[in-house]
Amino acid sequence: MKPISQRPRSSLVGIFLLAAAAGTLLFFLLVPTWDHPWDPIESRDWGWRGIAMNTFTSARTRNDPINIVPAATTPFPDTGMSASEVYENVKVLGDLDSGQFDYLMQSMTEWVAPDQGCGYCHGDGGNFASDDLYTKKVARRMLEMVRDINANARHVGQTGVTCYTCHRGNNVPQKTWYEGAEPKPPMGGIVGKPPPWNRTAKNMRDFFPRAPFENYLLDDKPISGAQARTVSGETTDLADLENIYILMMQMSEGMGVNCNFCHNTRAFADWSQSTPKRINAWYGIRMVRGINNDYLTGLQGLFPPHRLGPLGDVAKVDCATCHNGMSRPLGGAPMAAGYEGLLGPKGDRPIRRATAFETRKAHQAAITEPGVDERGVVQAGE
Amino acid sequence: MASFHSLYSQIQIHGPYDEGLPLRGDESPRLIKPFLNRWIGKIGDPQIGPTYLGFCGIASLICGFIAIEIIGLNFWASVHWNPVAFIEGMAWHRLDPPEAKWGFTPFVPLAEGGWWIWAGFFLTASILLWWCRMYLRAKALGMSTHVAWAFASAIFLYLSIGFIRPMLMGSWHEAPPFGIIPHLNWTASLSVLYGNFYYNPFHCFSIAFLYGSVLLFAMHGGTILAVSRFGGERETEEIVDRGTAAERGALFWRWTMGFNATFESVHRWAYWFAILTTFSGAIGILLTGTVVDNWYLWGVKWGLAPEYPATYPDMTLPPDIAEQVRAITEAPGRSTAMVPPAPEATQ
Amino acid sequence: MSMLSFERKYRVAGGTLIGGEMFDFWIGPFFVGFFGVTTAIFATLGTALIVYGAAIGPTWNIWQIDIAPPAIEYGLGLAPLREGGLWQIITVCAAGAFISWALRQVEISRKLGMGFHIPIAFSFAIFAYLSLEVFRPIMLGAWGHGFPYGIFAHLDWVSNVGYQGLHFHYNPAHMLAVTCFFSTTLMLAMHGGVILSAVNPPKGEPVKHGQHENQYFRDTIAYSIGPLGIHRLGWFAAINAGFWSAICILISGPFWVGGWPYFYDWYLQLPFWNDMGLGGLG
Repeated sequence: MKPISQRPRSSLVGIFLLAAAAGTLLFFLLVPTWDHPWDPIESRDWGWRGIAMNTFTSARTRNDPINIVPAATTPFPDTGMSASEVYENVKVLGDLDSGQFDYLMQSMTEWVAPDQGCGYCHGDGGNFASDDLYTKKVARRMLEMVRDINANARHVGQTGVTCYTCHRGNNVPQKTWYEGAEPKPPMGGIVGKPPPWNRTAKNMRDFFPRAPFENYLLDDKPISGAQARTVSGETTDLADLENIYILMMQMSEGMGVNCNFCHNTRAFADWSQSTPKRINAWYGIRMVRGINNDYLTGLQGLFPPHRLGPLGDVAKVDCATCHNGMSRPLGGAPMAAGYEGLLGPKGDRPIRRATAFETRKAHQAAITEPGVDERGVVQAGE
Repeated sequence: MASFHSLYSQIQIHGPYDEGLPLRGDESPRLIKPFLNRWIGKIGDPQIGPTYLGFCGIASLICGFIAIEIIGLNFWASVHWNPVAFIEGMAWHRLDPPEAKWGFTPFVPLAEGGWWIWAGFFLTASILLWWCRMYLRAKALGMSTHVAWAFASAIFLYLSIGFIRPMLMGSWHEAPPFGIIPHLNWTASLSVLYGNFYYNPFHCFSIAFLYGSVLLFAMHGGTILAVSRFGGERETEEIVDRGTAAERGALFWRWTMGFNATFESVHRWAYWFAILTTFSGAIGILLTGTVVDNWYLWGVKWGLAPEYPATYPDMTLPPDIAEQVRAITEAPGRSTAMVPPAPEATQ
Repeated sequence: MSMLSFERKYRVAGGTLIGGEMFDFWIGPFFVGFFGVTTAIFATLGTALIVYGAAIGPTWNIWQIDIAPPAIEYGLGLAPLREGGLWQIITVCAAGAFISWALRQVEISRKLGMGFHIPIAFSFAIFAYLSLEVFRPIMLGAWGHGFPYGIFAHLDWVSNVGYQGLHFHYNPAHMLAVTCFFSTTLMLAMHGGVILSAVNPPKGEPVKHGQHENQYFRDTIAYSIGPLGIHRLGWFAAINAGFWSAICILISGPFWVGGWPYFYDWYLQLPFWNDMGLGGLG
């Protein structure tokens, strides 16, 4: 070895290390989309003070254009004639006043196909009675769904939903999900199935496995973790719990909230420490199951292939489809107000059946969720 | 007898190598010709090597290599040998233990968790052989075997998580998967499944010892660095022949908090804090699901859980939810001692 | 009695930062100094207020005592004593006591002619404490975001704050902090173990020193960082554990309101993952 004085005293390694550290720091400061305390972050408290049952909203979700409530439009005056008297082939809204009917049709165009206009469902031939296009048949079924939801879904209550609640001006709502293909085992199966991450996804919502949606929002596997373990003595599968965990994360992310919105996380299962929001979420899960099973999967034969997922299934909904990152879609704006046609008959409809127990004991079903209290319980930004 | 000492001054001194203490006749030769590294020398001793492998070391490296190959090739195969996807998913790849239906049988088809068992076997073999090395080298150098026993405490935690507890539970499935994010998901899921690990008292102890260990190293490291101007880093010499560095270090803490360790006893504090971190963690893991199913309810039973004023005193469960909860909690044959009370339905 | 055999010659005047000779004395083994007085005042007041808080609270059960910060609607204002005001005063006392303690360590270091490594390390712990109880609440706009003073109450807080980010293990700074915690403890075990094994050799063996310590780790893991280096490394890793703990909680909420798993969208969008030739799963 050479004496020390003859060796090159290069500082390159040190400079390189410093540059790498600075580069990493810069990367982490610049590349991810951070929130900022000066947005400002708005926080809400859902539990006893000091135990951090808080949710936060930032300007990122509050100001997202998708969450802006569209300007109200003026209803058309009633004509005194029903839609079926004026138009042919009106199957769902035949009894509606034709003025209301026209107003609803015009609004639906704005909600779902603002670029394509009436022709998106009715074709360009001018024959509005024709059922040739799949879009019209789908729209009719979706109309039935919205009417059912507004009349019977306890999760929605008096707020009401319209096409816009999910579609936000798009032909297909932005946040939907398809069933995941069973991953193909490599090496003739000797190394087992690849994990179900969606490796072509561009965001974490899509990256997470589909099994949580399939098991709990399409099938009705019971969503119980600690509860089942303690209570029934079943060996709750850790894999099931991982799926439940992912489902709960997807729900929270879809609504811009977190676990504390519903739970005191020291005891997730305990209803007595949960917030009333958990009751609403419980009904929401069942409403989503109803929508997916009774309305959407039935449409599978109608859609052209490019509207279907890799397994040929229709796009299905989860919490994010309506909520789009807000705890109440569009800040809880009463979107369906003024649209008689969107309120269907009450009673034994699919959405109602999803909570069949309630139907049997409807007289007991009054839930007492505290109203606006002195702390001003109105979600920030809504 | 002359021996090497580390010298510290403003200038990094590159003297002759420490070629290593003489080996006994039955020992294999040391590997790696020693060399000096200037950048490492800025922090610590610039000399790297020589090192001793011997039988245990070679066997340990081979087993470790096999374990890493099994895990890594499974990862790579799961992205159909795509190198870019292999790198992209490095944090996400996973090798899962057998599903619950396989119980604890060692005979599981490779594709259904057998690889996980083999990887775990070779990793464990590698770690145990490495432990033998830590023990045997201490013996060979005429030292005691403290480091090996501290290592044994960590191995006990590792085995408790991956082998002993799954054995007690009768299912491989209770063990964590290999993989960075997957094992974090497992950790979180385990805590939720067993009712909140913060209420597991041995988890509390483990965390206390973990934080305590870090506190101790900050205190001890800070003390030694602060008295290094008096030669304080030569701890063993100061232990057998107390000098001003040890006296000042002791007085610092005595004057600060009324109590001081000695240069030797501070290492006993350190040693036991570190050992108890993993040891109490292992006890907490072994009790989970075997003795205690729900740590939160265990905490309630023993009066640990604070009771907070109800934020929603008027909240009542709608009957359909209440019925569902009651159906679970009042199922026949269930011990009700550890069950959350059935909520009241709306009157 | 209160003095070690060698202690008298070290008890000299001087080295204080404030107060000159006024507080430059010892009580029993304790050095007092100006900051000893302030520490005592803050610590006594804070402890008394905690006991008072327990007394007006529902329980004397040591595990359940909970001195909680104000509710969120008080924002950054003062709250009545029973509704979080106690917590606010106790927090001031704690911060005052901790900072006084660090400055007292500086005085003692000066008195003993030592470096300031200990108070520097301690200041990182204080930074972590202040991050939790002061800086993050200020950035979120309410004292109510601080943790409560109570054994299991603060664990409930930790639980809920973790789940505020849905899955806190995905917080990159938390990953770094945990890594520092674990590796510091590993190094502490190795260092403590090797010193004890060198000075407590098997029967009939002489006590070992630096060369054997080096040899042990060179033989087993190819490198020994040496007696000074291990204290540098351990000290550095320990203060980084505290530092990154502070960072991980400072960014959770003020700089990232969502769930930490969803933080990584940018990773999936990096340009060089394209065209991997893999089928999507959904």
